[in-house]
Amino acid sequence: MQILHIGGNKTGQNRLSLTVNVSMDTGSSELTAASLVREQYQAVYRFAFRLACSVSDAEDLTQQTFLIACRKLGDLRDPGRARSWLFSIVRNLFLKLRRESQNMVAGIEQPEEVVEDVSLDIPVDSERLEQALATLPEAFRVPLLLYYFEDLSYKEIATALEVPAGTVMSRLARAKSHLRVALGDAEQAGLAERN
Amino acid sequence: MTSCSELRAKWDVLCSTELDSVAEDCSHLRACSECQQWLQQLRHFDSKVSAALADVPIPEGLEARLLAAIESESAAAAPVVESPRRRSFTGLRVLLTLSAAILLGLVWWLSVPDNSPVTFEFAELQTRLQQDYSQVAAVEALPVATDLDCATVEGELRRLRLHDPRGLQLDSVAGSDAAAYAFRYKQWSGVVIAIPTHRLQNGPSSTAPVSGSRQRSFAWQSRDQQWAYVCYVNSGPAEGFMRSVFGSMV
Ligand SMILES: [Zn+2]
Repeated sequence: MQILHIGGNKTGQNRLSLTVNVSMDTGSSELTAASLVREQYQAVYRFAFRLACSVSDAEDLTQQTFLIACRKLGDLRDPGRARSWLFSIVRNLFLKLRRESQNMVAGIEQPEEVVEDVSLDIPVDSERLEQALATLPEAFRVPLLLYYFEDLSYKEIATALEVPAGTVMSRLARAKSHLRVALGDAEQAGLAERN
Repeated sequence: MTSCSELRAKWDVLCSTELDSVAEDCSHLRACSECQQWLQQLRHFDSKVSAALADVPIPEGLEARLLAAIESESAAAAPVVESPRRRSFTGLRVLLTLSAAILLGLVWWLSVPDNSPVTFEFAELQTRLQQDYSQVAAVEALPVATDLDCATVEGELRRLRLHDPRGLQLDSVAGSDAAAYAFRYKQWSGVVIAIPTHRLQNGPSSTAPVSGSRQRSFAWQSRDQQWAYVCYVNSGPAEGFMRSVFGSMV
């Protein structure tokens, strides 16, 4: 338990004055499987859902992730890194399942080449993003998700996916370009409709 | 000499830590205001995509099912064969899971006080902060892995990362939750804390940041009065940071 003082002047009219007991549930001595689930299940599920694209598969992945995590809880030395640790379990599990079912085929239905000079100043709407993701082949979608969820470098993604770094760079670039074009098109369509 | 567009194509696939190095070391970037602007837009766009990707509804009862699953796993106290599909679980295991879920649900229901903690949704708050202060996106995209160095925040909180907020339990109002975000932006570092206003007994009354003390803390509430924000500026000129990030409010 930590004490955090915010402000400090009780008489100040516009000043916030309170004492906060900072309860760190993931403190190394207190980290339990249950607290790990409570704190991280939403983030883990969201990542799993984006990877698996289905509610039931995402739930399976989430459950498997926590079962593995609970068994390996001792491996987590820094509780502050719990989320990235769990994300790496989700990712490895997902990739393992994909390899087993041989679903992840490189080179199926390529997205267009990188379109340059697409504006970055476009709204990002969840629904539109979902549509854009849905039209992206898995070989492009997965590196994109590792990039956005885990903030992995292209080299780290290459290692995780066991593909050359150059391939990851090119897929990432094309996947990001695909998103922007799709989001930009959606915005154009919206503007045209309103006009 | 490498052109702006070639450089941008390279930067586009870099992760945030790599982009931080670019921001620090690239001589072209220092000299080219268009690329500076592009990079800022890139970070803003990527941050919006990250937030939108995290916008996924959580299935009802998932937490209880997960807790039940790990409970039954530890109760079984036997090595579990990794199953690729939940539907391959045996009938007994499903039954155990279900009974544990019902039991846990009941215990939870009985134990929840009226002032149960607010579940803090990072995506929701992130979107919210970005709506109120567009510059926040730029802050979020900047180095976050650096250890927090805030004199008033100790221990675990030093490991806060901006995109990994931690819940704070407020002592003054039992069972309240808040979220803290460490930041590092240009020469500044510190913590931003967001608290639902209704959880505070004496929240800030102003909608503009007002400096709290020589600790360089600023407190204010959102225009709709739903949120109270507290910002500690630990290093760098505090007013400059507030103007830069929460500019319209100062
Ligand atoms: Zn340039």
